[in-house]
Amino acid sequence: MTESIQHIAMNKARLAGADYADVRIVDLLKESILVKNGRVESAHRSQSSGFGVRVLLRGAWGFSSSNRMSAADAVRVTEEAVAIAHASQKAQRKRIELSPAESAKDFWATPVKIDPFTVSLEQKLALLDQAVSLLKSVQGVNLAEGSMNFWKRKQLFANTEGSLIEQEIIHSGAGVSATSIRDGEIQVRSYPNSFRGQYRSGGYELVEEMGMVENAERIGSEAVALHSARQCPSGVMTVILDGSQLGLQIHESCGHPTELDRVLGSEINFAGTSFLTTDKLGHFRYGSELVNLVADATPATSPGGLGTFAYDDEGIPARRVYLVRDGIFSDYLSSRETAREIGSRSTGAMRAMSWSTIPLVRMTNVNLLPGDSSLDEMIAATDEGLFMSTNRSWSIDDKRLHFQFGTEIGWLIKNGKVVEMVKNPTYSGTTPSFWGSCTAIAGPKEWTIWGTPNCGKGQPQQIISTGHGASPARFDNVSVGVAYGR
Amino acid sequence: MSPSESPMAGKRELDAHRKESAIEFLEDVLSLSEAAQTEVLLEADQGALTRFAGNQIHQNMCSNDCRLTIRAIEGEGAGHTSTNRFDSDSVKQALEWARQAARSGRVPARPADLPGSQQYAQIKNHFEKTARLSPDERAEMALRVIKKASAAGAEAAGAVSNSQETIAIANSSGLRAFHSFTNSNFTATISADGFTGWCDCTSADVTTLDVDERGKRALERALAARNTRKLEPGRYTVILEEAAVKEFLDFLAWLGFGAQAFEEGRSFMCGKIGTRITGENITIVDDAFHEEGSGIPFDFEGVPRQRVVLIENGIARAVVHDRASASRTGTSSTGHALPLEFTYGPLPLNLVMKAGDSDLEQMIRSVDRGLLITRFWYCRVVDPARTLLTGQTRDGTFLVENGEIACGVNDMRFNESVLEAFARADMISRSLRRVNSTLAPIMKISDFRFTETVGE
Repeated sequence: MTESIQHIAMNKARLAGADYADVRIVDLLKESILVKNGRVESAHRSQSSGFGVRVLLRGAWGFSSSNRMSAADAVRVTEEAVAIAHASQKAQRKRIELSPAESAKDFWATPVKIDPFTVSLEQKLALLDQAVSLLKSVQGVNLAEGSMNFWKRKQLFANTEGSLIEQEIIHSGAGVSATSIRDGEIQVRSYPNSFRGQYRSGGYELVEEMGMVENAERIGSEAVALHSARQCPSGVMTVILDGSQLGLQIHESCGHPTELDRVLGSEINFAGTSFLTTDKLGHFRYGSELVNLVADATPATSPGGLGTFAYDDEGIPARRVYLVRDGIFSDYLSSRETAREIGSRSTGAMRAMSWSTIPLVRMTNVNLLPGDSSLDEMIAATDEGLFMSTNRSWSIDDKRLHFQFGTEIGWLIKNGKVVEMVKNPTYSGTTPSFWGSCTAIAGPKEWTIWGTPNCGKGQPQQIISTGHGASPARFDNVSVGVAYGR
Repeated sequence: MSPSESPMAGKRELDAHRKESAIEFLEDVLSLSEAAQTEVLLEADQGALTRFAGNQIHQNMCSNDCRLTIRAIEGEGAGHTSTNRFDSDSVKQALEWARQAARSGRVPARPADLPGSQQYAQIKNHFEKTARLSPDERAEMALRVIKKASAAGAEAAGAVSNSQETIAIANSSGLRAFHSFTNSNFTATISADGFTGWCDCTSADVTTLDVDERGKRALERALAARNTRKLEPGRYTVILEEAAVKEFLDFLAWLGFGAQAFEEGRSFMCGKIGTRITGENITIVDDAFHEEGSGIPFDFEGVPRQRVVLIENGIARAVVHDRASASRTGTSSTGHALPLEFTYGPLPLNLVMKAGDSDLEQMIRSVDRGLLITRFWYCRVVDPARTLLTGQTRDGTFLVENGEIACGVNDMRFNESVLEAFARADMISRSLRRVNSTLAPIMKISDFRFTETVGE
């Protein structure tokens, strides 16, 4: 049936006079497990499949989709997409055109050692039970949670230019967190990351290697100890961010503003625009000379990222592109349509959440390349500063210029040594001046690709998983503690 | 991947938005189940959205999905799964997976028995005109606003959407529930010389969607926002329009109005039931039956929804329950269960804030120096116990001086506690406006804390 849908949709679109059309046939399997205080809250497995047809007709887009997958539905859905493209022409100022692309016929699958969907629920729960039990054993921990999430996405992409690409992408993630509540104050510590853990592309082996059990008691103890810690001071100081917090900083202040559709105004009503306007391309100083940020979807150089694939959802081969090179803003995340607007070619960043949604310009893996320092060296070289770990809150304006982040925990640094734990740390700043103050980045040994599985964009909103390679880094003259002022 | 849309050979295809067809389908699924108890939920969603930017349509789509969720119970154990493949093999496979998971006994069935037949109130929020809105009609609605913006030298961006959604539930204890409803939404951001005004409106009945008036207002705001002044951070009196108030109400729901947060000690309502937690003029209820709302008469377990008073005259009154939280705490479900794959526990989805006796013009006239705020952006929780949020203003922030709108101002970042801010609200509008599924007023609040000026 898959082959039939693909042929019917493409032939029907051609006959309707489409400039271009593509079809994605997707089968998505998902499993999520949550354990709280030793009780299994949820173990849910879901499956969703369907197809979507995108038609560019006389320079206007139409898209339709369905979970029904018969030949008759392929005809109906393609006709709907054509009719919608005709309607789009009613409000068309200029024809939409696509930058050129090579066609491809290929198959690619995420390399996995253990397919998570072949591992029994009992085995998964045994690991979570052990970690949660250790968390809960710490006196003062009120809520001990552990979770696992797995996705397997099989997708066939075909277009009227002759591409026929099959991919099977598997994402796995897990994490534990401890919540301690005392005297009306709530403190949380998480491992390996907050908001249900660390996520990567790969199999169940990632979960087994994560060290949730080994780190559970430490995390629980830190959550309880935070109640007795001093409130994070406010002021301007040197800040060292751990890799997971830096991953989200990259996501918000580099990934989003380099999305070319935002720059061109597509998202002004929802996700916003960008301060990285096209007049800045190639010469704007985004950060210090140490700062090199790449959008890298390639399995060779970005293995294991949530944005790792062989082809994007327009059939463009995965690419590695410098968004910021030696501190200078140098390229965008783009699609065939948006790249054409600036006389360029797609950087391969079109991704759709599901068979029922259109692809949008999305982050793949936006990575801060490692430097030559280390966390220990950065701390030793800091007279007075704050080391911050594990995101707790995040917010940035609609141009992606002004941000405020909070982390679960902080440590004050004095004269090159960590001297004291502090609670409720926050920092804020402006994107170019913050990255301009980057004075050290840890090396490859401390570099990890972190996963952000919940990035929202578009109308209707789509949630996409993105990856962010980062190691700890140091920033000078950062405003700290504003959120908690009076 | 059979073309058949029924698990039973020879049956007619499923039309999920028609009651008889949906219930017949669910009864067919129940008849195939070998579990001791089974609950089946059908969620069908037919939606379309036309998106425009730079005064032209740039994205335009429709989708059609239908999903079956199964809860099997064996003894004290439950198993959950969902699928959108309805051929016989796929449905049987899903039923068997759920039954095996239930037999493992690892996921507790809470409670161990499914509810029987229920009586539901009627809510009229399905309109054929909304369900059948064509791509041409959506394009024409977008064009009306685009043309006005273009004539004023401005640019319009936004979306027109319509949907038809159906929820049907059947279980082996005899419960049968069906509700179909429609939704339409128009939203636009108008840009003039880099300054923006924003609007949105939502209605079950697309013929009542106030596209022209809301679009005109957004254009006027964009034009008025030009020649912006930059203010210093600090505490200001603010007038929050409905979309901004809605953000605050939704975060209260998330942080504290659900039984799970309450049980776990994370809710700001913990230990406060019967005591004052915010201003005396603040009453917040969850009411699926409000005439301007978008409610469904039952929750995702088929339990009838109740109207629940959450905060009354500033006093914490109650949280909402599903059957699991109710059974743990010895009370009854208030009909606020979410679908099974969600793990947040019960939540209120139809918040209504009690209206006051003022209006926007009166509020503006009463302000010596303050800000008029159209909407917030990227609100996040800084400290849940204090209901401390951060976020920015966006798309229409104005300085009000001596009782008049003086000029646009740069957007500002706030760090403010919702409950503390509501305690400083001295004026609330007499009219409520629906923003998504929340009915919110306009509020005037003193000493609102801004920590940063946003902008290049």
